[in-house]
Amino acid sequence: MMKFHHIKFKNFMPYKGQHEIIFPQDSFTNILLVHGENTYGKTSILRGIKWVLYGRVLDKHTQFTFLNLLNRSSVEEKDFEFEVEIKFEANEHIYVLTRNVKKNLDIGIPRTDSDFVCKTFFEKDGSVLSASELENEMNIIAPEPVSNFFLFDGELLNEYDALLKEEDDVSLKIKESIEQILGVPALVNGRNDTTQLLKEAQKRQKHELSKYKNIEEYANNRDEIQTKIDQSNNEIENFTKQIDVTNSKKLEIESSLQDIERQFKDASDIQLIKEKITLLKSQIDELEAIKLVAASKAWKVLLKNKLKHVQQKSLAQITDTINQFERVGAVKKEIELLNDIVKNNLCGICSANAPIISVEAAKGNINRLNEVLLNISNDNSKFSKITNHYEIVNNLLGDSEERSLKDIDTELTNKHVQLISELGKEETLISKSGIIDPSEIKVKAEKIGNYNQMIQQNIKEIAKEKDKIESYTKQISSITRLIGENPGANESPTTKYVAIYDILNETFKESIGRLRDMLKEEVESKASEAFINLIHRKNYKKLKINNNYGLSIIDDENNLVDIRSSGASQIVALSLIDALARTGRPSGPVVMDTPFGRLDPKHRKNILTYLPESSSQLVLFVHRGETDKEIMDLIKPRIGSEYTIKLQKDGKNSMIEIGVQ
Amino acid sequence: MIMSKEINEPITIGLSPISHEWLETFKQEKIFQEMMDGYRFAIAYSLSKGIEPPIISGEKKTTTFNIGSLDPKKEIYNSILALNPPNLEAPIYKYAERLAEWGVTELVSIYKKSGTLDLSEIIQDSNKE
Repeated sequence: MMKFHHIKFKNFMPYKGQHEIIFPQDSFTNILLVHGENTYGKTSILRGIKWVLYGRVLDKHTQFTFLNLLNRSSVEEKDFEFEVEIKFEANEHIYVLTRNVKKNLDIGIPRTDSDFVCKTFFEKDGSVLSASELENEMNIIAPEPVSNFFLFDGELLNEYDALLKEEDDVSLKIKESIEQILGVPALVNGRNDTTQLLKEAQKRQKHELSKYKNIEEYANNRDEIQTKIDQSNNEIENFTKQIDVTNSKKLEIESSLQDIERQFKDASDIQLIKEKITLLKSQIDELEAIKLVAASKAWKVLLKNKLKHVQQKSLAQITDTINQFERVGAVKKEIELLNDIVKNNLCGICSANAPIISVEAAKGNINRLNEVLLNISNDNSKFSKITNHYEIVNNLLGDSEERSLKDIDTELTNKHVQLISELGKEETLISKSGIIDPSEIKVKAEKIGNYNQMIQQNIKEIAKEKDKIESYTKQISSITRLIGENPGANESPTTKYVAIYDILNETFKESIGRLRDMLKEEVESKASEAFINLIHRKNYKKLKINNNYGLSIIDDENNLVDIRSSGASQIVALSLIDALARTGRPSGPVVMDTPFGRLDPKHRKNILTYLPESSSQLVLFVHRGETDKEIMDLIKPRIGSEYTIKLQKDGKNSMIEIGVQ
Repeated sequence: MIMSKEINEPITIGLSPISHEWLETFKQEKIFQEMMDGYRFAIAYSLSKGIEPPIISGEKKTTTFNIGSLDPKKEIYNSILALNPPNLEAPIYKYAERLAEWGVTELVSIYKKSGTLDLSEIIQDSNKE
């Protein structure tokens, strides 16, 4: 079983300086989650693992140069050194593998890979091993072709759909990788070796039996057929070379098309930015106009607090005056009652006779109250002035609340900041984008079409040649048997070798066929098992494998599902990967970059339930859109550790921090 | 107390030529849409400071604004009366002219110091006082 312990980066791709990820070791909490927004450097970690394990990283079919792998800011600072170290265990041994790349001392500014020195340090249980031993060990632990099936980019899963096309160069390449994982090349090499031995033995046999005319005739026939086989093999070699040449031309054009696509994207981005700029400018103009309207009323806002103070003062005066009016009323009423007592000797309230002493007292009280009245100001005109004043102040304050100048200013500042940022983006994009000629795209697309046709034609020719070789080989076998049956044949000591090599050759040939059938059966069964666990459709029964290891879905009525969704295709690809990983190597880690692109939540959950069980460690590089709360709740118990990729302060480089930010 | 009697109120009021020029600058700088808006703000600024505006002397004033346009609803007039600044005397609009002259001079000094005239900051500062 293979398990990663840690990986360390120094100045590798966007990771300036030293960075480290420690992998979980527990068999249950074996999920490592690395969160990061797009472009922050998730794929770079995957590339780091591939590069340190195998010494190269491919972008489609083009290999990354050292300058591609070296951190850009380090280049600007003339620090031309980067390093990746991985520690892992496999087959009960501990390995530490370090690759360090440094500028050659004689070179000022390195421009190509030859301007660098790459050193590899490989330790097994503390002992240093050589480069060739590293290759041998890695071929046992996890051969490079296998890496595509456990270190993979989720966005490239659609490539596996190509396996369903029988005659396609992509499908042939993937098939080759799959067969390499499954060990088919060992038998193919055996067959090739015995073919060579047989040829040499046949030559010797012919020489030894040259005195027998009839045997010589057979041998000449056999030579002629062998020549045809050689010619066919040469043809196959030529066609294969042509395919490679055509493919590299195609890739070159595809890559220039990608540049054009990027330019198109830039142009469309520029257009979008221009629209945004226009919108921002009009919003700014609108806000400026609103601001001017607000400025025309700002004088009122400036006086608001002072006027409020005056308003409160006026209100207090009004309250005071009303209180005085009430007091006057009350005193007047009291005087009235006292006057009743004085005039009628009767109490104004209960109509009882008032004693003389009370009348005298009432007179005294009347005088006192009249004095009180004189002291209370009861000026109606003053009250009117006060209320008028209050009303005017109220009117001055009465304008409805409008947007404050401060609010408008804040929004204006924000809009200006956004505008400056968009103008900056526009300038950057304009300076890097070239002029696009649409006719160029058409010409390039036509060329790609032609190249595809040429490749198809070459593949067909190769198949024809292989058929011919098949037929020639049968003829040679028959002739060899006829020679062997000839009484004189035993005079050649080589005859028995020819017979043995012939049998061996046939055995290898048959074994290759049988092994392929067995492996296909195994891959089909394991992939079906994974598929049933992963897919959320009850009417899907299993997967059916074709000659290229392409998988088709079979429903519960044994019908082939012709049209499948992109999500289903991704599940099929994941099932194939899982099956190959389990067929071609012992259990190991699975590292998935952006794994859930086309999957719905249900399937994401299925995968996250299944994969931690089938792998020793499950490492997922995810962006925010891929992990909602439900998914996080589901995998939470199995998460061994989490990291977050963040931008460094310079906004250009990334850093890896433990935990979720 | 608001004085209700309007005696000998002028039909137009203005500013000294230099203050007039500054109001024009504020308009060009798009701080105010109209010079009249700046004029009102200058009056309010002086009122908010509670100062007694000095009497304008010497220089010939530039007659600028018609009272009917400057203060159609008599809001400035009433504000001055309501806030009753020190030694307020009629005619009120003549007093307003003094307030405006002092206010513009102060706004110009803020403008010169900070290179702009941030009305919201002036309002905020005034609320703190």
